[in-house]
Amino acid sequence: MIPDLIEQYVDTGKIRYVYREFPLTELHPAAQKASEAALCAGEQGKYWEMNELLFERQSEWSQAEEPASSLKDYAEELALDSSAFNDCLDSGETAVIIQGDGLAGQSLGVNATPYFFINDLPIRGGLSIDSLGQIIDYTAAGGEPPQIVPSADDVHVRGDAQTARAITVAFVDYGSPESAQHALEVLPSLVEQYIDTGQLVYVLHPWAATMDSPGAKAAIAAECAGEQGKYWEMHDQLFEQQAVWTVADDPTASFVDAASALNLDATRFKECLGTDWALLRVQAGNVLAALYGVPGAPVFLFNNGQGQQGSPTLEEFQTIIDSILNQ
Amino acid sequence: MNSIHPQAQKAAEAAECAGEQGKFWEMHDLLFEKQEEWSGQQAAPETFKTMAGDLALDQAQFDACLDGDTYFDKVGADLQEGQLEGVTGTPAFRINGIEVSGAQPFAAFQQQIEYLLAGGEPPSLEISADSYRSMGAADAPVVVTEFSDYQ
Repeated sequence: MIPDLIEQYVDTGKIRYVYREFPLTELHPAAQKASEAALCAGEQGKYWEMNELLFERQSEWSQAEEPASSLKDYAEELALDSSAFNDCLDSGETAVIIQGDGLAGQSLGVNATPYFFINDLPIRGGLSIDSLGQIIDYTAAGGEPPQIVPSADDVHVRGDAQTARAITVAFVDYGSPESAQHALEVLPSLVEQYIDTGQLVYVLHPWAATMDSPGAKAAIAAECAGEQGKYWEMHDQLFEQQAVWTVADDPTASFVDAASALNLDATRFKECLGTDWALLRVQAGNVLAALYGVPGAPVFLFNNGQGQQGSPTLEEFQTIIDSILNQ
Repeated sequence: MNSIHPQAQKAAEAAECAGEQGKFWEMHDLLFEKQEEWSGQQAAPETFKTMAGDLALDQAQFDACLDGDTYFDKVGADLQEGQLEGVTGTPAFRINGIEVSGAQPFAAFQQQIEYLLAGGEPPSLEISADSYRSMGAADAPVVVTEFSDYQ
């Protein structure tokens, strides 16, 4: 269990937290008995106390010659009914619950610990409390599990998925100079050489340090232009004018001007800027970054498993893309 | 689309059909014993019928049960949703609500059947808010589930 998660999210009523036993018995031979001990304590109403104690004293019981006897000592320390606890532990009667957790986990693809589900969204491995919190907030707001490669009709996808053999997934911060450098100096060549020729699919996920930063607001503006069919036109405008709106008192005025220049319906555009729909589309990028261990933007992931942080040059892109195309 | 072990679904149905006549376990054991005879074979249902004969079951009733897909839904085959990684069409069996991926070894299938027969509850991601393993408000909009071990 995670104390920060309990303090910030359970105690405030934002989440319900459930712990499932998933002892990796081949790696951790004593873990099975430890899980049984937690469940036996649970039968006496002290599951979480035992859970916490087991993590605190891990080095003690896991290396003990007789883990069960350490576990029984803990039961006494927690003032449990010793004889009921010892009977429970010795009989192995809780093993069926652990087996059920194991089967549930297997059917959901759990193959490592810790492994989280935030509602239905699976997360392999431990995350920082900040990353977990972002995903929780996104889910609470009604966000659907985001796709790292969305369907071809999503405006974030550029290129022909039917023909392309190379994919790059770009995490882009509308407020960062490096992202602007990429968008203005490298992306146009990628479009000409690879995307328009059907060889590359370019997927953009917005990333922002915080959801009230100018960069996040710009990403929302791009979504709202996308809602009227002009995502990439707005993308280009925003990066061209980045120096203006990042320092403006009211960046929204700049976005509205840009929308007008693109002949968008201004009323509809302004209404869209405040919607949950647009905000969730932008938050989804941060959620994906947290899920895939992407530390910020710009970051580019390729379908050969390579990743590039920062703003690679056109030549660097060409080297990677050509190697994928020639595979 | 069919699964990688298309006969496993039918085998589970055969065990259920034998169960109708009080010989679930006998059929269960025979299926595992003679797995090589039917696994991967198009004619697996015919082999199951022969086994029913060996177990002295009412042949007509068994055949009708098997051919009529009587327990198809109970065993139920379906396709798992593609994973985030973009893997699509991964086949899966569903036994009383538990999914067994079609690509898993037969031992996994056996493990799950035996768990259920031992009286285990159909496992799922859901754990009731009443459980001692759940903490926090029952009406919280988000449930965070952690699978972990202590070591």
